[in-house]
Amino acid sequence: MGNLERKSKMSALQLAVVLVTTCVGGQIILAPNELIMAAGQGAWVSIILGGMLYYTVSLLCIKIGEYYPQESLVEFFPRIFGKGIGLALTGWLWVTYFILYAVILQGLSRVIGLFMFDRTPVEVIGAGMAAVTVYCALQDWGTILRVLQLLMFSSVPMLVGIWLLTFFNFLPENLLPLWPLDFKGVVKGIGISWGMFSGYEVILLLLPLVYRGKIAFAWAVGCAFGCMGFIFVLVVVVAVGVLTVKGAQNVPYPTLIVIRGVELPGTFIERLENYLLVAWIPIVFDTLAMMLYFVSETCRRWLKYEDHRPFVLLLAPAAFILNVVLDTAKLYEQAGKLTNTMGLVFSLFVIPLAYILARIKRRDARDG
Amino acid sequence: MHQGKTLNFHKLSTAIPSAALAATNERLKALRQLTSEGAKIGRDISRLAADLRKVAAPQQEPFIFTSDLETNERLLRSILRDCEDVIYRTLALKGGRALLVYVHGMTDEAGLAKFVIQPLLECSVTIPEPGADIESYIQQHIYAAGIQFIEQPSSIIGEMMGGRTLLLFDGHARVALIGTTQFAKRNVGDSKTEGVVRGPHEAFNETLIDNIALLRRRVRDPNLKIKILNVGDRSGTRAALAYVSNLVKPGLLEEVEKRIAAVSTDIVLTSFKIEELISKHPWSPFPQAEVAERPDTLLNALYGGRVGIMVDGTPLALVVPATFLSMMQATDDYTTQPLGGMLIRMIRYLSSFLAVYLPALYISVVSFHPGMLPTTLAISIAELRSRTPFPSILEAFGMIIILEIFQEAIIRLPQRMVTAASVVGGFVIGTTVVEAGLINPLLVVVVAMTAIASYTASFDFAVGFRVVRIFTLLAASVLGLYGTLLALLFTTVHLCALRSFGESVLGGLFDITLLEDWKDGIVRVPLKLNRTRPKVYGPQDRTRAGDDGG
Repeated sequence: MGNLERKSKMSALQLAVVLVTTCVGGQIILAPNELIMAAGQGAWVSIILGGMLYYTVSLLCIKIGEYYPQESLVEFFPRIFGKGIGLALTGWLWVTYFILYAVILQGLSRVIGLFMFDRTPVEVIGAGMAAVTVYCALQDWGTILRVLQLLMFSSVPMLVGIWLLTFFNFLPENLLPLWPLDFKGVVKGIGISWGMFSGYEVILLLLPLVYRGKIAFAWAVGCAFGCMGFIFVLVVVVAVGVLTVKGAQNVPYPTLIVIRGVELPGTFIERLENYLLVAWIPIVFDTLAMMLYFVSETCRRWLKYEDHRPFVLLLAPAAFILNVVLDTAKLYEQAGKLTNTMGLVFSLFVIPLAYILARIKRRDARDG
Repeated sequence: MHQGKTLNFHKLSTAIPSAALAATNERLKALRQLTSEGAKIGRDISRLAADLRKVAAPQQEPFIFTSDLETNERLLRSILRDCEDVIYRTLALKGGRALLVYVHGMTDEAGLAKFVIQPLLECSVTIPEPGADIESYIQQHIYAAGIQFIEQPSSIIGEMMGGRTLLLFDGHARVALIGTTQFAKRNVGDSKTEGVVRGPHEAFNETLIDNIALLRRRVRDPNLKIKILNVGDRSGTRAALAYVSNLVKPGLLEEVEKRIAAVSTDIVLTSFKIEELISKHPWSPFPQAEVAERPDTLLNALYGGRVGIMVDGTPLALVVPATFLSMMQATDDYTTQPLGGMLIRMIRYLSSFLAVYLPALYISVVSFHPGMLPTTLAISIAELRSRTPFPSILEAFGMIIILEIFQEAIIRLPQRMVTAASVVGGFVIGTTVVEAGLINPLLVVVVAMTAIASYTASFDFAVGFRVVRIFTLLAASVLGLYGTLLALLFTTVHLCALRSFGESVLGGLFDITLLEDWKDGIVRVPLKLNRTRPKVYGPQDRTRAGDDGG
């Protein structure tokens, strides 16, 4: 069929787009409060340091991918750690993402419910989004990739553009002292910032789909982290600059409270938080669709199926039920902490260990 | 006047017993039976004749031509039984007879007389002996331009039914097909569906040959190829694949041919039937092939590496693959100054968005999120709404339905009635529903804007917009702005998943591997800065310049 193939391969830059759309999702509205609570004035430092840390981990992922070309974590983890442990560690990430899907869906439903439909059950709101993410995840990778790109280039600039309007209420003195004194809080914030960068682990699944071009993977992934870091720092800095640290710690969704306070006299635009939500919903959709695809595709590779779609249809109702179960604030918070911890463990221990073992195995193989 | 005379009326059957109703019914019944049996016998005879003909005929052929002219005529008459428009003309020539067979009304009879019959009758050369070379004789003595010798009887009959004349000679089984086609047709006229201000106005008509000529007249490039195919098992409709051999995307032509060859249908009367049958997503409301009514539009597409499908009997050619961007482009984008063209194009994109989402946004904001409106506007809308008895959602659906009815009526009505219908629809109903307090005037403005906005896109795409508009309105009426966004996401995923010969209809819009196409995408840069063909269609040569030939 000539070049009429299904176009499931992607370039390094497209991988970067996938990373940005997967990571910049629910957390820009859901996470700042927790981060500012932990790191206070130094939240922005936590994001930068966290970004550098997770970028380093993502470089390790790329290195592992180079040792096992055309393979995903489902194939190379058992070869690195042994069949049982490899499967268990892949399952670890799978469970993290599965719960994360439910947590983000619940978070989205709560935010939409609070700011748009205070009398609509959050389950109804969640069901709508779940249905659309299922429809997206049911498509082939080429289609999902194009949807991610389309929404990234339409929603992210819109989101940033609307967010920049908050500079009308920005008071630079609220950021002072600029350099944090609470370094313990900053370190804690680095851990919490995993929630913001969560999703970059998809590299381990997607690397076989990336073809090598002029742009190096490390550079492309670096661009993605730079873009994410810029957005997250912008969000946190403005939130603190407008609300002060104390103010941001006392409201559940500082991002939306900040934008709600913006007034544009002389225009017909009011309730800017609704506009921000309009830009935010497609970004969360991207993240959710990507996570659903990740868990389904992992199952496909485990069970050596030709098609990931049966798993989408199987897992989506389960994830939605889990989202419904998380309806109390306490459960929701605990689930969020659980995914954060699981993700941190995977990022800081499993991936480096996998890299070291892969490197040793490669050296052994080379030495005969 | 007739005083003193008595008139006696009797039944007709008293005078003629056989005219009695019962007897007449009896005779009528017998007649019906005879007719029925006659038809049955006719069918049996036809079947027997077909079986006899087939004895020597190859597979899939109804018969074979023999060297006996009378037998050939009998076979043809048998095949073309009840085709009274088929004319058989026997000519007595020097050394034997010849038979001309053609379809009245499809053939240029004056030309046939002048260039075929007259030269044959005036020919002093004897017809070659049976078994000798008849082809040279025909080539030498007939003045007609197009003479062809085909082996398969089914093809010969198909060609004859298409307007060509059969010429048979006594003692020869070889049959000549003479190009004498001429039939009533529409002249080349203005485009009905692709209006243009500064560009050329010529548009395709229903005749395939004319349409091919319109292409050839504009481009003297031997690489512009035309491949003729027959589609429709019974209609044998001719379809032409047009492409530029050294530009077309590798594999695309073969794929188009494969899909057209797989079309299994009895008749093909419109190009849309082919579009539907070769599309892989027939349930999608959006078109998967672009429609071109103008030769310049089609040529532009062909020189971008795409393939055109022209169907005899339809003035609309198909272009594949088609993308959202290609369907949103128009000739006027390139016949005005680049900045103007860019503005026009951007307006078209905005209109497309409004055509689908404006009613849904109205419902969302007015019914679910009035806080997004400035207080004064919110109050005035509330005041307007308080005068109407229905909820906004019902009002919107009502207006959309009225709009759809108007559009359908205006398309179906005779031209002279359209103005009257427009006045009734636009002024009478539009004004009256507002004055009667049935519909909020702001909603009338919204729906009118929606209708006007939808006219900026191509008709096929606008129909898709209409479907999505209703779906989006439903979503908005349930979940407001959030529902509208969900509908938008659903449509986006659908359009990205929708493929036209391998290309995503919408997915190329912000595909970073296709960034080079931005110059003629949402914007349109001056031609001096855009010297490459769109990458999305995968042309063999991306530079807009001549080639080495071949």
